[in-house]
Amino acid sequence: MILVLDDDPVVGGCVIRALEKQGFVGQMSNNVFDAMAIVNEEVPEMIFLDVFLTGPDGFTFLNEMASYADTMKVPVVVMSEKDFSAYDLSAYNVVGVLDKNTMTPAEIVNFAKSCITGEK
Amino acid sequence: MYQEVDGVQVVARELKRPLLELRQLALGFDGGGAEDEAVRAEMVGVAERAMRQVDDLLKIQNLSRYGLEPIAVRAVCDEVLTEIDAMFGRKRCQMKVRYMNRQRLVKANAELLKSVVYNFLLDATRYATDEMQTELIVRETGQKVAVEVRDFGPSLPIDVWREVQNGTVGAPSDIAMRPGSSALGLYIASKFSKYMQGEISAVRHTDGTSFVIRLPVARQASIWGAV
Repeated sequence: MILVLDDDPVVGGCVIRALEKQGFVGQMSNNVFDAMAIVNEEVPEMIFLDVFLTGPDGFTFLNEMASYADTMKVPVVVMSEKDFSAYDLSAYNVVGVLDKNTMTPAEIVNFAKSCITGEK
Repeated sequence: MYQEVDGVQVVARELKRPLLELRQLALGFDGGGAEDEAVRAEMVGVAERAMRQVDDLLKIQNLSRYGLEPIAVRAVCDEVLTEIDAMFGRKRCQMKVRYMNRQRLVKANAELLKSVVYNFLLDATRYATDEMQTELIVRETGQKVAVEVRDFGPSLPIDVWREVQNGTVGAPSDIAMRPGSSALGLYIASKFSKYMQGEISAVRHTDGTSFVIRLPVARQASIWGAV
C-alpha cells in the first residue's frame, strides 16, 4: 500500500489515480492524525507527502515516522510547491522531491516503481 | 500594525492552487484518441502558462530577494527559446534569432529577465507562421542592451501602448488588466525591468508589435582601467 498525504483532495486524488493505473494500491489522507492512524493499521510500502498541510505539517509526520523502528525505513517522496531539492532530508528517508508545479504522473509512477519493485 | 493588502497578490495566491489542480487533472486525463491527446496537451499548456504568470505576480511582492549581478543575455535567451520550443513542439527555424550585441553582460537577475523574455516570446509565438516568423533580436543601444521581440499578431491596443510609453503599466488599471490583451505580461515585465533599473517599451507596427526591454550593461572592474 502506498500512502498519499495531501490536504488538497484534487492533487492527492490525481496521485492516487496515477498509481492505481499502474496496479499499485493507494490510500489517501488529508491530515497527519489520520495518516498516523493508517500507518498504525498497516505500514505503507512508501509515502507521497505534501509538506504544507492544514494542522501539523509534513515535518511533524516525518519526525513521527522516524521515531519508530518499523516506520523509519519507509521511503518518502516529498511533494511541494517550495523547492526542497537543496535540503538534505535523508535522515527522514526522503528518497525524492517532486515540485508540485511541474510534476507529472510518469514521475510519480517512476518513484513508486523504483521504491517498490526496484525498477528504474 | 495594520498592513495594506495588495489585491493583485491575493488574487495571484488564490489562483495558484486551482491552476495547479487543473494541470494535474489534465495530465491524468486519458481520453485515448489523438484528438483527446491534443486537447489534454493544450489544457496542460494553458495551466502551465497561467501558473507561470501567477508565480511572476507573486515574485513582485518580494523583488528584493532577487539579487542583481552580471548576466549573460544570450544564455538567458537561449534557455527561454529551448523552453518555448519544448512547449510548442516547434523548432527554432520558425523563429529568427539574432544576437548583435558586443557587450555580453547586463546588470540584471537571470530569473526575472528570463520571465520577461518568456512573457514576450510566449505572446509572440502564438502568431508565428512559416511566412511570419517571430524575431528575437539582442542589440546594444548606448549604455544598454536591448532584447527585442517582434511578433506578427494583432497590433498592441493603443491605450495599452500609451501606458507602456508613459511608463504607467506599473499601476494596473482596468485597461492594463483587460483580459486578452498583452497587458498582464507587460505589467509583470514593467515591474521586473524597473527593479533591474531597466525599461520596457513597445513599437506598434501595422502587422504586429515589437516589445523591448533595455537593461544597463554590467560594468566590471578591469585591470586596464587601473593603468
